[in-house]
Amino acid sequence: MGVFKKIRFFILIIFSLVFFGSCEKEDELQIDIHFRQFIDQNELELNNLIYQNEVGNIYSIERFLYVISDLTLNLQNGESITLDNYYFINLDDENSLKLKNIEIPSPCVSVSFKYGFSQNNNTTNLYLNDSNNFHNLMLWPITLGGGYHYMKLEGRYLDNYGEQKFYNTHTGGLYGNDYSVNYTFDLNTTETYSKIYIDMNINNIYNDPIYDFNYYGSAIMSSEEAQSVIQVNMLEDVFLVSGN
Amino acid sequence: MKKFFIFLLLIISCHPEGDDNDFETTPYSLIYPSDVFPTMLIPEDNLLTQEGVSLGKKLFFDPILSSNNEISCASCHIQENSFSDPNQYSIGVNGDFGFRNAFSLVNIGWNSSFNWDGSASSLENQVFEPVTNPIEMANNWEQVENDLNASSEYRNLFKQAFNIDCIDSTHIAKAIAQFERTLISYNSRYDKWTRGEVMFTNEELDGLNIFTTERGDCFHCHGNINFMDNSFHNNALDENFTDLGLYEVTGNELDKGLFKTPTLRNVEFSSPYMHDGRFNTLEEVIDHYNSGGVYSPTVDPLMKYVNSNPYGIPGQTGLLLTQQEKNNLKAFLLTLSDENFIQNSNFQP
Repeated sequence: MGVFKKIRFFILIIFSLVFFGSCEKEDELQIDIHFRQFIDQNELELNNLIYQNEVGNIYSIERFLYVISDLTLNLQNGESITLDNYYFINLDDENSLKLKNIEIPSPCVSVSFKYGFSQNNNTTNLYLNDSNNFHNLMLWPITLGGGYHYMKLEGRYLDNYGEQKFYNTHTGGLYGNDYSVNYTFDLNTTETYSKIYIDMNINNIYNDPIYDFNYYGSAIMSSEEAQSVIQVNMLEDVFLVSGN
Repeated sequence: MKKFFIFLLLIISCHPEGDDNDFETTPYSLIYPSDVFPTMLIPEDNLLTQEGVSLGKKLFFDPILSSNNEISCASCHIQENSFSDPNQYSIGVNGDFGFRNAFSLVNIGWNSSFNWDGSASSLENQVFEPVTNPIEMANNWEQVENDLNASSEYRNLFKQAFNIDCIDSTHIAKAIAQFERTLISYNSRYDKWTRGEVMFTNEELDGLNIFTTERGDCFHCHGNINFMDNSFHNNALDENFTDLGLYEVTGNELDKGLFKTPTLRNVEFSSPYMHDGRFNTLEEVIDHYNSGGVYSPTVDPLMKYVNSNPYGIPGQTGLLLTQQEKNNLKAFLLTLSDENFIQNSNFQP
């Protein structure tokens, strides 16, 4: 083969590799994950004193930040894909409510994740340089065990006398204890989803067992009792995963 | 013809960028403990150099930026006051008073927005407004550029720092921003305590506990190593607002009365306090928070004792700290003072 022809041949090979190699594999799927928040069946409306928990507290929500970690997509082909260390959902930041275009080789059949952090992933300054102001907003004081908040849920409630008070439902690894919760949600295995919804029914954070703002007061970071009750409440009926 | 040639000469001599082949600067490395301080984010188009920082310092102290050549950045950002103003309001060129206390510049490089209302998105950006503000330097940028270009010394310094022959406002702002990023404090008594170099007194330890738990709950806004959260809050100063703060930038009703959280580093030196300098002493600040503050519709939920107290005592509001606890909190705040910073000759012209 002459030199010119050899060169043309190799150019053709390289071109083919680049062109066909860059095409998506036929069975490559893309999936979006949406983090949504509800009060019972209703979409969350901020800054409105209209919600009522099981014990009868009327309350509003003004600020809501929380952490999901160890988010794992379990696939039909037996693989599991664990996404980034954690996701920081902040209702003040619309961009935090969606993860877009996650590529998976096979349909997703279940989703696992943790509310909060495991103790191994929850040491002070571990996320010092992370984006979205996470370290500044979620640092949990060393005097209370260090690490990071799992959740900051803040707003107003009406006390027993109908007076407006403020509540700060802040959870984290108080005194080094692990108050995180693990979840696995199965999806319909006959479906191939392009969207997964990780929904939170915020009202159930305060239900079953009941959580009375009048009893726990405005500040619970130092209260092991309150942290435990919130953890128990988080076990069921707070998160729900679905897809379409 | 002569005029044409002079015009041509000016055009040729004032082209923006020189030959890149021989242009070199010396990188400037910021020094701070990187295990506890986040990496300072520096724009790619304004990396720190020795030449840029030095030029920025010169400009910071030079009243040439003001219309009457009497006021510099340093006139209102005074080193011994942690680069803030000990006056409630700074006085501008025309004798006008401002309406907000000059922001302390200590560790300013770690901020993500600037000014009490967040109106500047970068340090470079922040430089522009005081120069033209009629109640501050009351100048215009064309005049500033002309004055600096008329100085062979400045032309030479800008050439060394940025390889430009014609000084413009963008590069003036860049130089000043470079200098401001070097204003770093990390050797306060608190820093030394975290490093195990000193021991806290019992009062300071209790003050730390009050600060970093919901006993005082200072940390939610003034937490982490820079004692600020890069966020905005209504900290229950007023029922009605004369200054709308963040709302002036966002137009969002929920942002009325919200102001940027300042750092508490060197707070001992940076009185008066709050966006309008209304409090002269740390005791007044502590008393404000201890009282719970004043309710307004946009008050931050973190000011949770504005209309209650931690103990459920009817009719009382605020933290209900004892006098000893307030003294201890102040003792802790004083540990944030860094004498090295306010005396550092590197920050002086």
